[in-house]
Amino acid sequence: MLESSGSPPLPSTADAASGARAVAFVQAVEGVSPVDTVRAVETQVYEVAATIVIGGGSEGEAAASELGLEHAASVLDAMQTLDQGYEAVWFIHGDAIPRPDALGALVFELERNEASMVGSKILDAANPNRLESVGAATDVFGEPYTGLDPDEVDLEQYDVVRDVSFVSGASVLIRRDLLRGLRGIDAGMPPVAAGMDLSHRARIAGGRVMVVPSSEVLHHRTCGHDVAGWRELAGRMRTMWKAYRLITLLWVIPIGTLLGIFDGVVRMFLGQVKPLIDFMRATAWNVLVSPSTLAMRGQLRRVRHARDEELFRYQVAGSLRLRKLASDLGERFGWVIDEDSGILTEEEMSDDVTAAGPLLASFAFVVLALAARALWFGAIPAVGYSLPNHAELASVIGSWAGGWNPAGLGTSAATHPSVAISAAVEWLLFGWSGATAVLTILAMAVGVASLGRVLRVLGVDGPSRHLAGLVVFLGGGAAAIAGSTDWAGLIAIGPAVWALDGMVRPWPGSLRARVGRMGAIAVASVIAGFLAPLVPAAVGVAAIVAWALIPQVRAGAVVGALWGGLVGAVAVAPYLLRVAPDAVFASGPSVVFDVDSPAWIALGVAAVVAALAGRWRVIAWGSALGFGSVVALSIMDWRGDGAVALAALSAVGGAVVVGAGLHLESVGGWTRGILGAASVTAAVAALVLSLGPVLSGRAGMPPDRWSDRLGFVSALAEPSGPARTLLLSTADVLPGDSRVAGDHRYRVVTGSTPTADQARLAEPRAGDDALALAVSQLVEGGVVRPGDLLAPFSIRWVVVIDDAPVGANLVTQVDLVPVPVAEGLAVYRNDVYRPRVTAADGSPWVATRTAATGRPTSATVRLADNASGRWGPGWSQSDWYNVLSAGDGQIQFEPESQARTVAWIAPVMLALAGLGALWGRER
Amino acid sequence: MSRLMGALTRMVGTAGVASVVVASILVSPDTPVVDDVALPAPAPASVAVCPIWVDRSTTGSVVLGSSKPFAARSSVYAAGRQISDGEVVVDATGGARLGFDQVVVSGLAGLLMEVPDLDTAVGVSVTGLGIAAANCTAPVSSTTVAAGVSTRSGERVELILVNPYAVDASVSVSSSSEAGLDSAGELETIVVPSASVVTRDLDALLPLRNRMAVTITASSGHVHGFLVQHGGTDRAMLEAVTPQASWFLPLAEPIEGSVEWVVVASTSSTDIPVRIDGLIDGAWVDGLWSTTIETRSQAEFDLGELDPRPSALRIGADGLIVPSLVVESETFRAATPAVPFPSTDWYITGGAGALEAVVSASGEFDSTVTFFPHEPGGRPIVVELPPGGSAVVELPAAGGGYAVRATSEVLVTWRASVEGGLALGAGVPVEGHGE
Repeated sequence: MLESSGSPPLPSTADAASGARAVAFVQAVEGVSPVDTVRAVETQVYEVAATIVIGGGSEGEAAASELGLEHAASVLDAMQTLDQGYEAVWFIHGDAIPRPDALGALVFELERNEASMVGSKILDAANPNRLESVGAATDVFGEPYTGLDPDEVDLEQYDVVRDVSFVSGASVLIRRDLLRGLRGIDAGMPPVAAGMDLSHRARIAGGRVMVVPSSEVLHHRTCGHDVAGWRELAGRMRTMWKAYRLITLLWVIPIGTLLGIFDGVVRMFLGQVKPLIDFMRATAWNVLVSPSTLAMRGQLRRVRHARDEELFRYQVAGSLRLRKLASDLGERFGWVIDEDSGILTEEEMSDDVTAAGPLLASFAFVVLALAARALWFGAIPAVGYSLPNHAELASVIGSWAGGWNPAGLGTSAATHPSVAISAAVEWLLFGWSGATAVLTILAMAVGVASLGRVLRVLGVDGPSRHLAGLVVFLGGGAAAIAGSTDWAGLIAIGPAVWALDGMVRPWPGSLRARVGRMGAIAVASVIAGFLAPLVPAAVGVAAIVAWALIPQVRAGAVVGALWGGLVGAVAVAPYLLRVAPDAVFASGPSVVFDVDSPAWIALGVAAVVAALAGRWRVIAWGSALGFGSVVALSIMDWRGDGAVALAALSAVGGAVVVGAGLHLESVGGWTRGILGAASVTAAVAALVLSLGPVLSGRAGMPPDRWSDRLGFVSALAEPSGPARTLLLSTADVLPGDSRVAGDHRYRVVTGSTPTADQARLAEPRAGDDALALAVSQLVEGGVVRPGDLLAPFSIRWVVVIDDAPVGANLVTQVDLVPVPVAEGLAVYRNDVYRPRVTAADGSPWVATRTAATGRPTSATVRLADNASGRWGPGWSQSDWYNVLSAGDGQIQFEPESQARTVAWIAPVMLALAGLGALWGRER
Repeated sequence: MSRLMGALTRMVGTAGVASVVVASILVSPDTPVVDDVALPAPAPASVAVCPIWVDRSTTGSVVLGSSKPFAARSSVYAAGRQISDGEVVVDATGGARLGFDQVVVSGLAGLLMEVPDLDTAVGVSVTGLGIAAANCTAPVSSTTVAAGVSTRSGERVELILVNPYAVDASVSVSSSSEAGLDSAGELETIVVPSASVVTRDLDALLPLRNRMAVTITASSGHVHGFLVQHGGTDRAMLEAVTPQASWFLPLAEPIEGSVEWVVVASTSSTDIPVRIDGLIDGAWVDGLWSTTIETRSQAEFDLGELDPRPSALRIGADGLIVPSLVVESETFRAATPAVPFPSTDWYITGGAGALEAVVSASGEFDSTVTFFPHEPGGRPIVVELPPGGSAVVELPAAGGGYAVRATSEVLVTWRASVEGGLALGAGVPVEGHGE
């Protein structure tokens, strides 16, 4: 039984004299003399029976000698040197100064609450008003949570004696018998982890751990307390590994590991590499010291009296690591939006405008996320040019880089870059089909943030400008792209606005920052270029027009525009140089502006009124992009990449008009006041009228048409590889590009789902011409053996959509057998089909996208793809198809090395630009 | 600042030029291949379908006629599958013949002959129980009509539905007779599976009709319909043809002891007037006979009532009709659809029995008509016809039938006879060579 005076009231001298039943263990701290600590200990109202300096090596030993005190290398050693006449041990760091009544308060509360371990309130010695610790909680993964704000002032707001998860190791009073049972402090741990470890073990042993705020200790923190590092992390891990029962560890360790990796990876995107490294080091260290951890678990088992649930009682729910990550991301997002630090000054805090910016940007982002919510619960709708990636992702990427592109009857022309980047992202995410969702959400976030910054550069600096981010992704321009089903073109708007932001902002002064800016423009342009090849050039034009119209945009914008356009073009050179100009301007998605939409009218009104209200330059620029693109498209009659680039500009222009229209600050005088109000009204109307896609949840994309629609192809597949299907319709509903035969459209797809790599068809080759002739005969009618007609093209299935007239021609034929397998489709199986790769004796070979294998023979095999001399071995051309040697038992396409080399330019450029952007990041 | 901007500009410009040059050098065109290749020849554009059968009492053959040599692909289907596949070569004579027993072992099957679109005729002839003949038909319309059979006592009429195609067909069969429009429940929906032949005994389902027309309507798929009438010592075979508003029939002197009828069946959904004009003394005489045919019904006209007897008939209506010529005696019965239009070029697909052509010059001019036998060494037969004149021309047996070439428009049918049997057949006019 300890005798204590309690605190308050202050103990009497008599109580103190009779209560010397505690000893003080002053833990030596490297580089700090414990003299002040010892003096403070010795002048405690509640006198200690003895004071021993612990640890510190020779330095600690010398200090103890100088003070005339005993020294012990460890806690256990110190306990052995003492007699049995004390009942508690007061651990105090050698860099801490306890107030005179600190020990007395600890002793009093220890006794009064029948606690086993109590800790002091720790204050910053340099600023005694600042709280360092007043007990703390953890999450289940051992992450500490003090509940204190940075630099939180001690107003005695936490002065309640209470049970806590752990107390600071800077000042702890623990019963002697418990300490002996726990075998002291874990010497291998840094300060915070050591306090947590001791607290947890005390609680596991059935003890009560409490904080006593009336016991105040000033802490210099020389010990490294509160300094995050891998040792602290490792110590906390070791604490968990020691304290939890096996059943808890079975889920805590794997989930904690995943969280740690996730946190580390995400923080790398914030430019923080150390967290991941620290986590890896901490994990490795714990693996290395696991034998001693196991030994300590064994010791703890002997004194365990409480279950893990006793620890859980004092823990916070969820993961503190994730909370911190989210908080940091939020801060960074705030910086991205407004170039603000993310931690606002008090003046800024009082400025609603500054605080509202990130809020409105977040709101816009959330609405966009809602508008694209279908993506979160599935894939992008498979319709038109919005198609899933082929499962052979590496091969798809290869089709971009000089490999065979099997779209239609095959071509050596590069696949569209949007297919390559989509496949690359999915490949990097280990084939996770949510890659499209990730790309979409990132693009939207970047687009919203960047648009806000662009508008600020243009002088539209109110927080409402962030709402324009809704228009950029949901407005008329975006709707035209979404309606064309060019998903890649839609999300290209995000990096496009990012690139535009880099171009129009004034160039920074330092060389490093300029490199960073060029890197950022290059990264944005490369990504935008891959998603929509002509968008970087279009953005460059927009930046140059901005320079011409808007004084805030300096001449440097021209340099940025040229740079962005150039980099974007070079990145997709393998595509632009290998496809005919027609492919860029005359084929691909059909972009149609719904000019009858009331949103366009509202936008026009907003533009006029906002211009009259005083922002005519910005409005002129926005209108030139927003409306000029519509006019240009109607004149040029482009489709595909050219049309998407114009629509992207229109999307940006429309958003600029709305952003400027929403801006009220420029208004002065009653006339302008009325105009301003009208401008806001019209802009709000345009904004609201643009929100239609939110309802569908597909960001304006049409509903899915092709997912699983051709599932019978795989269900009835043969071992020779995916079969080709001829799709026929009179309406423009076929996936990707289609060709015309009579009043019908047709195309060939391979496999059970039309994939993105097949969406765009290259310039027709001889095989395509032959197929066109065959399909024309089919459409004209009178063909009694259409299966025979289509067999050379390896067409196994013919699908007639929406009762197209060609279906009537298939009534009087003998070799296409109708198969009732898909609702709404008339499906015919070609019973005289020949597989894509067939040996001379008719036996099929098993084919993939770019190779085939089969039984080696001395004869040849026939590959029903457009002829290309890169197929081998023993290639020759017969009619329109390939004939190859069957001697090796395999054939394959040899990628074009030069094209492959050129294809490397983009990732290398992206990496270099990314590094440059990180290195010269503007803060 | 400006110097730095200048440096940036130069850097961007240099990078641009370098990029274009490097990319142009590196991205070479693909390995040259020949894209200017010969495209595949168009697929055969037309088919002719007939029923064929082999039994102990029947010998049958298919006759092809054409102006050019070609190889026709013949496929035979029965019981849901293709049972034979081969080629029939039309040689320089312009004709070819294929015996049923060359492609069928026994039983009833459907023959599909793939032929060039124009200038080709395919017909079948069977002998053994009298003689019967019909032209093979092309898939033109979903509604076809065969008129002129009888289910009176002692006559057996079999409806043969041939579906050689890959798509199952569903058809309804209605009939009309002197009793009016009728049908049987068993005929309302008949499923003819792909690659199959289905038959129905009309004499059991619709007995005791003296003159009967059958309309076959496919609601899905397509079938080729034929009627075979057995009676006395003979049988008649009639192909179902696509209705149209105007038809022609050349007439010869009647065969002694026979009666001749023209049976006109309407597929119109309203009552329609029908009028028969006659070619008499080189001029068309209107309204030799006229009547109104009720909805989807029929009318019959006894040619014996005509005096003077025209050399040809023109049968016209305000709706879609199919007329047939029926010739009967105590022993034989024969029928053929009328011919659709006058032409200068015809084919006769008769391949058995003693063959005679019935030819009328339907125009205002004399016509020199030449019959070219599709037989090696065969000699052409030439007949001169005045305007409106007609003739019955005996034709020596020619395995591949005859081609008929006239200097002005004529109408051609043919008849083939054996002991106790007579067959009638419509000449096959070549489109574009007539009206």
